[in-house]
Amino acid sequence: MVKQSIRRYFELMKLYAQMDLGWLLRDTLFAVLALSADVVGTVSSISGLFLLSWRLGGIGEWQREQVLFMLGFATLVSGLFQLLFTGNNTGHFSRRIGRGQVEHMWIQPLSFPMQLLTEGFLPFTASGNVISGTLIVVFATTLLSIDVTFVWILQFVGLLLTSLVTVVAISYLVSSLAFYSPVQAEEISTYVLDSLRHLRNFPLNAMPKSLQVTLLSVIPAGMIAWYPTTILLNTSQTSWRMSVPLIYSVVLSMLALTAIRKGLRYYVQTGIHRYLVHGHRR
Amino acid sequence: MFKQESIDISCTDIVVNVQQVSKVYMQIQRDLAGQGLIKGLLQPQKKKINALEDLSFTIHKGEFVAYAGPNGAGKSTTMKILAGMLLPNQGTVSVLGLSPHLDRIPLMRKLGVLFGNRTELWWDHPIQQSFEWKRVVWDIPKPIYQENLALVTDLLDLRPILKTYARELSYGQRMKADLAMMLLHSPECILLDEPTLGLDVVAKRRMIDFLKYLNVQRGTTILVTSHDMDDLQEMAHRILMISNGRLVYDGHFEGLRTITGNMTRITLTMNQEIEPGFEFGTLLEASQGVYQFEVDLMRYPIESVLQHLSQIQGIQDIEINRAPMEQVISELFQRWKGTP
Repeated sequence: MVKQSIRRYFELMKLYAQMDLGWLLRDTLFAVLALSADVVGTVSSISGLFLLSWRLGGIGEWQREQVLFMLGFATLVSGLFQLLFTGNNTGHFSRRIGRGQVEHMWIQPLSFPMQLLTEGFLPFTASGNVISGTLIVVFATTLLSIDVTFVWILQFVGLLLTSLVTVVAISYLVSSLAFYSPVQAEEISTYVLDSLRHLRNFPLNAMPKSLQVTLLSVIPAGMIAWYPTTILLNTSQTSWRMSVPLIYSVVLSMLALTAIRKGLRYYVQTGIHRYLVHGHRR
Repeated sequence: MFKQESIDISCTDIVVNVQQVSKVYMQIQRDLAGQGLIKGLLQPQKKKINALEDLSFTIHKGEFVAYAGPNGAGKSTTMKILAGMLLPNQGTVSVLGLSPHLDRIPLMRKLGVLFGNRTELWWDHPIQQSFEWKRVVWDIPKPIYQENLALVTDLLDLRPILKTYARELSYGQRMKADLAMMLLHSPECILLDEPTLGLDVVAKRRMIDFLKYLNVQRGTTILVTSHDMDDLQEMAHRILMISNGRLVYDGHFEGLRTITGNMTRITLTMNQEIEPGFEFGTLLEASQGVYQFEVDLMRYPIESVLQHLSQIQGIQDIEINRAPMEQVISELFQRWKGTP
């Protein structure tokens, strides 16, 4: 059963990768424009804060190299989200719900998790942030002279995945509101993730404790990049802190899962009398 | 409920089984201004809508069944319940022996669903990419896929559009491609909600012929809804009619005429513009010496009508037609409207 699910997962990922390549290469002008826009978007998204920290020599207690590492980490989290969950609004589930598009999922002979974990895969058109994030992290790691051991790489990958799970869980948690108010909440996941994207780029070291706690719990912007960076750069001394992002992401995922399940139960009871033809499949 | 018992069902395998199904929706009611606005905010008024009420029917293997009813009768709700997208408040549903809600994944391997107002095609990809997507997602073995692809491509004349992007297709072409895609996994039963909606005469003809082919040659069980009664009559052998969420008729199309009284239209063309003294019918239309009457042949035997007509002076031509099915059903809808 597990073996078959893994086989199906990779078959579907291959299919969506092929479709993404086909979409990108439909004509030369389109391909050039899409790739250029991706590069410009990626560079501009991180350059503002990076230039500011470089000019000021750092932000708060952190040196500019540390800020750069954090920005690279944050960019990688965004990049992975875009790579795996941008296609067909799998990462913005409220759009599917609000547009009455969940019905398309019902008629496929696949479980909902399998659909949502594969349909969003865009390796050719949404990998810009993964590439730039990786380059920034490598550059910052060199500047910081970090001793890159196998354990450190494992820690890095683990924290990266944990942050990704946190972002996806937040998106699904807020998206569940669209089951109850489809028109008003159609774009809620976009608004929430955009807000987090703006907030997560700030190191919280110099912030008051109350704000730190808020930004690590209720509005977990700090949990996406800043907190994992404190662990990876050893600015935090306590070893138990490594488990905090993991526990947080697991709890948030459970909450999101429960909310979506409840929402789906509500959906099959009431239906959504709204169907918009655009938006389900780009 | 009118139920005809004379339908010949050679096979007894039940494909669709709907028993005592009820579905209730709540609609929020709101005033435009004043106190009503505040009241609506604090305590929204809700109206209970019985979309389906104690609905029961069965469909056997190989049947081609039309599902008709006026707007808001509950047709799409039934289709969604059969496809597992909605849960009934009461009652049981099974399709191909499976529960649409609990056995969704195995059921979808055997069931085909097509809603006329939406597409399963990938908008920014050529049609053949959507077909390939279907093959992988449904895990269709390659020989079966190739065989079905060849069949639908030929019968629906898809070859010229296989490499065309879905967004660039005309509505008729899109419907054909959607229908073709739905059939690639050889579904044993298909549910079609308004498949001929918006199609021109040629596209509609091709669609109807293809569905009849599937039913006869492949034994596919088909349940189809449409507002076009003539289309339904041409396609289906049996009609289920619902009104206000209740099943009001289950039987042959011809049986509907006996309920309305077998209304027939007699058109008389006269030598001069003198109204014929025809006593058996109601005058529907009169123009330039042509008079159209509606006659209830259940009430007046055809022999008496013909004998009476032979005695009328000045008739140049006589034309006798059965009332269009569209009209028969419209009368029934009117009659059942508001029936509790």
